[in-house]
Amino acid sequence: MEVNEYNACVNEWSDALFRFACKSTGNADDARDVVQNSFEVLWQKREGVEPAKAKAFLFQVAYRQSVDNYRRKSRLSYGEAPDEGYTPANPGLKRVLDRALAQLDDQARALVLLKDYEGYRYEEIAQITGLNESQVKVYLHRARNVLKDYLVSMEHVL
Amino acid sequence: MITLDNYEEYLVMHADGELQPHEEDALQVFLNEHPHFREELHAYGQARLVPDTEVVYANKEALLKTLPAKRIALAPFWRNLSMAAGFAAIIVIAAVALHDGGNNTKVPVATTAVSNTTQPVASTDTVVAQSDVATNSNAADSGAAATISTPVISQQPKHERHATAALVVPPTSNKQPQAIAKQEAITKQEAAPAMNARVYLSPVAASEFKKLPVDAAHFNNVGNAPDDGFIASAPARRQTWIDRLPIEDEKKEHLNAIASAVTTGIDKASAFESSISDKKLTIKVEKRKLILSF
Repeated sequence: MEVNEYNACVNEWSDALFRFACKSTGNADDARDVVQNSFEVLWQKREGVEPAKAKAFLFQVAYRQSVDNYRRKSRLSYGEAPDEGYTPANPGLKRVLDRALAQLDDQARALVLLKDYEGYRYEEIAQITGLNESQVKVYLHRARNVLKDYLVSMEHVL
Repeated sequence: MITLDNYEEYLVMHADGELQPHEEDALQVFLNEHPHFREELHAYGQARLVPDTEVVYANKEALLKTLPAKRIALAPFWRNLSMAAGFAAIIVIAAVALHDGGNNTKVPVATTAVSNTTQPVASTDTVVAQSDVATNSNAADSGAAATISTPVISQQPKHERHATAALVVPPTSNKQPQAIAKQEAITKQEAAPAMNARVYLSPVAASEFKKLPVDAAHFNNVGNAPDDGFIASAPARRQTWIDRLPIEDEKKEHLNAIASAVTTGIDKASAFESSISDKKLTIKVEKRKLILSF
């Protein structure tokens, strides 16, 4: 990967990576660190990373950092919902989904984000997370059920 | 085959867009048979997150990388420059040698000739353009001087001898009294119209040395200089500080050649510097290398 290709990755994927990190870590400052570290790792490993696989590489690094960070944070002070400062104008269904997302464990949250935010297929998510495709399928199934049940319960409350 | 035991899996995969076309058809058949599951399918569809595109990473510039500066190691350049200076020095030396060889092949070494006279410092210290010295000398000296200097004087018309620039260095304190007396006499004669002008010239720069003419007559005169050390004919060759050194002429020539070569190298380096002075340059000196970035 050349310098211009790396810079193209920055311009194309930094926003998506930041959104993923925000939802994964629940903290904007941690998300910035995740993005910065992910691109730094990409820069250091650029010789062995093909441009077409740079996005998956970035999310792989971000996933590992976010999960680790999220695990650490969850043990300390993670509350019911992630930082809402990065979910402005979030009424109704979207706000409920954010709260439902907070109900998931770190790994299931990351899987849902990779699927819904980035549109990765099961096979690609398996490569990013290091799980096998069946595990991804099962974990996502469970996560969908949690989200659906939360939505249904909130509809009944509202 | 979609059944009541596995239909949730197909509903989730439908929501995730992971079903194959034939699986989609099978799901539609199943939903047609069990329409009350369509509400559950809709719930799975709603349980999908949508990215908030208003959330962006604000500091992209800090992540961008710049191309490394173009680095040119100039060590080979300086090697080439020094080689060019060496070749130039060789050419200059060869040209001077050829010039001397054609006009001055029989010229004795000045200092050697002068050392035979009573003025050993004459050739290196005091050189006076004086065509009439012989006539003003004492009888003993004038006899010898006249016989020696006459052919020299005859080599040039008088007006040309006047026009020839004579390099005269102020007399030094170690000059013999006789020579001082002679020079005082000459000084008195400077007022006379027929007397050549005494010109005191500062030592020339090394860069001009190669331009100096070489006058064979001067060396002839020096070699046959009269006792008073004053040369009847005006020398055309300017002296440099190297010429004043109390060393052999051969060594002086070598020193002058080195000075010329150095001057040539400096001139080329200066020309190169002036040619790149209008560009933005970063010069970095590393171990045995000069790095130029632009």
